[in-house]
Amino acid sequence: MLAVAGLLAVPLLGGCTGDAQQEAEQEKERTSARTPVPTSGSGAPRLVVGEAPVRARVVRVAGDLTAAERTQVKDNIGRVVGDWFDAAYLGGELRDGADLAAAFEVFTPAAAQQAARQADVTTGRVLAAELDQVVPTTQRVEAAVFASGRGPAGATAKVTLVLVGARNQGEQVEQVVRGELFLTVTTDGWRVFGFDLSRSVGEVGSFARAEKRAEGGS
Amino acid sequence: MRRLRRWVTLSISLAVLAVVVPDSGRQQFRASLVAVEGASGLDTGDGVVWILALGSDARPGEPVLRSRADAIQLVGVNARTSDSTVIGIPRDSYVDIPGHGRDKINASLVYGGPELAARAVAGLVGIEPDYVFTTSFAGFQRMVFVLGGVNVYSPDSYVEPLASIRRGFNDLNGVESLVFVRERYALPDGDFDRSRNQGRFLTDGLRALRQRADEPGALERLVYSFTQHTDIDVGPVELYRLARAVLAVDPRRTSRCVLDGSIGMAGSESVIFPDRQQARSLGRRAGRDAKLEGGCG
Repeated sequence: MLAVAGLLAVPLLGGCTGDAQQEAEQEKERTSARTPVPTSGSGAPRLVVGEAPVRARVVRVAGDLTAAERTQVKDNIGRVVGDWFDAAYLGGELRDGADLAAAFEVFTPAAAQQAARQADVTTGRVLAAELDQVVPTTQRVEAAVFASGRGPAGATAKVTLVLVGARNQGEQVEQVVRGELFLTVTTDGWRVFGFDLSRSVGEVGSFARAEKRAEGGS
Repeated sequence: MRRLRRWVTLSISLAVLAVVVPDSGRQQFRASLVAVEGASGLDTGDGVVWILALGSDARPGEPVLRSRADAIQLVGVNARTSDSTVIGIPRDSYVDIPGHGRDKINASLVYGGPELAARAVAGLVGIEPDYVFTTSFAGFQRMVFVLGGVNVYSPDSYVEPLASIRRGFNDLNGVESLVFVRERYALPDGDFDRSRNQGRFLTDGLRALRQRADEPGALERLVYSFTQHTDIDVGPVELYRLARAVLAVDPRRTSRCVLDGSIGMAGSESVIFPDRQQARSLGRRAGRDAKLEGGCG
C-alpha cells in the first residue's frame, strides 16, 4: 500500500491565509527545508520530508468581489484543486487500476472523460506502481478570477504540485505537475472544465533549483 | 451577444512530449533526462460552436440591435481540434428574410434584431448560429483598445482620413481598425474585399487575444471588459466557457471564405445575388467540424 504522505510527513505550515509577501517568504523557507532524507533501518527505506499543505491565493480579480467573497473563492478553489491533488496523485488507489473517475470528481463530466484519457499526466498512476511512498513538498494554487455583478463566475488556476517519492530500493524521484486548470461555478460549486498540464519526473531538487534560477533571472 | 440555443458539450484533447536536460547534481534518480508530458482538455460541449458576428452601423442615438449590419461573419469554433472557419457574407446579399420577403441580408437586423439575422443567415448557409454577437462602432473600437491593438494583414494599400493602410502587416488601433473593416471603395473587389478584410481581422484579432491571454489574469480581464461594452444576455459562466473555447482555436487552423455572388439590380437597388450553391456547400462541409476541406468552392 502506498503510504499516504501524512503518516511520516512533518507539516511545516498550517492554514492558507496571510498576505502575499508573508506567503512568499514562507514558501522560500519551506523550499529550502524540504530536502527529503531516507531513513535507514530494517525494511524499506522511508522518506522523512516536510509535507506542504495546499497553499491557495487569489492573485487577480477582474470584476468586483468583496474581501469576504475573495477569501471564499480562495478557499473553495484551493479545496477543489486540493481534492484533485489528493485523489489523483496522493491517494495511492490508482496503483491497483482503480476507477479513474474517482480522480476527477471535481471535474465536469466531459472534462473528467478527457482527463481520464490522459491519465498518465493528469494522475500519478505512472509512478504509483513503483513508489512505496509519496510526499507533496509543494501544493500551490494561484487563481485569477472573473466576477460578474452576480459574483464569481470563472477562474484560471495556475497549479504546481511537487511530489517526492521513494522506491523500494531507496531511490528517490521527484514528480512535478504544473499548468492551468479552468474552473467555473456550477450548482455543485467550483468545477474544473478544462486543463492544460504538464508532468515531469526527475531527480529530487530539480524543481527547487529551476525556481531559484527563474527567480534569479527575473 | 444573444444565445440562440443551449450550450452543448465539446471537448479538446491534446498531448505533447518534450525532453529537456536537467542540471547536473546529486543523482538520486536514475534518469538523466526529465521527460515532460503534456495533457489538455476543455469541456465546452460536444460539437462546434457557431457564432454570428455582426457589426451594426448604428449611428449615435440609433439602436445597435435594430440598425443595418455592416459586417456579417459566421464563425465556427471547434475547440476539440482547434479548427475554425470564418464565412463572410457580403452585406448586400439579396436573400429571403423570414417574414419579410426578399431583401438585402443587412436589413434583417433592422426587421428583427439578432435573432432574425441569424435565421436569415441560416436560410442561406444552412447553419444555425448558437450565438449572435453584435457590436457598435464604439464597442468595436473599445474591444480593440482592450486587446492593445491588432496587427492585421492587408493585401491593399490605401489612405483614408483616419488611417493609412499599407500592403502587408499593420499595427492598428481602434479607429484604424474600424476603417480597415469598413472600407470598400478603395478595394478592387468592393464589398467582397471588405468582407475578406473583416475575416482577416477576426483571425488576426484572435491571434492578438491569444497573445494577451498568456498573461496571468488577462483572459479574466478581457471577459470582464467584454461584459461592460457588449450587448449580452448570456450568463457569465457560459460566457467564460465560450471565451475559453474561442481561445482554444489556433489561428493557423482557420479557413476563411467569402460567399461569392453576382452584382445586379433588385428594383432600384444595387444588390448581390449570392451563390446559393456555394453557400450550401460551405455550410455542409464546415457545419460539423468547422473545418473547410477543399477550399471555398
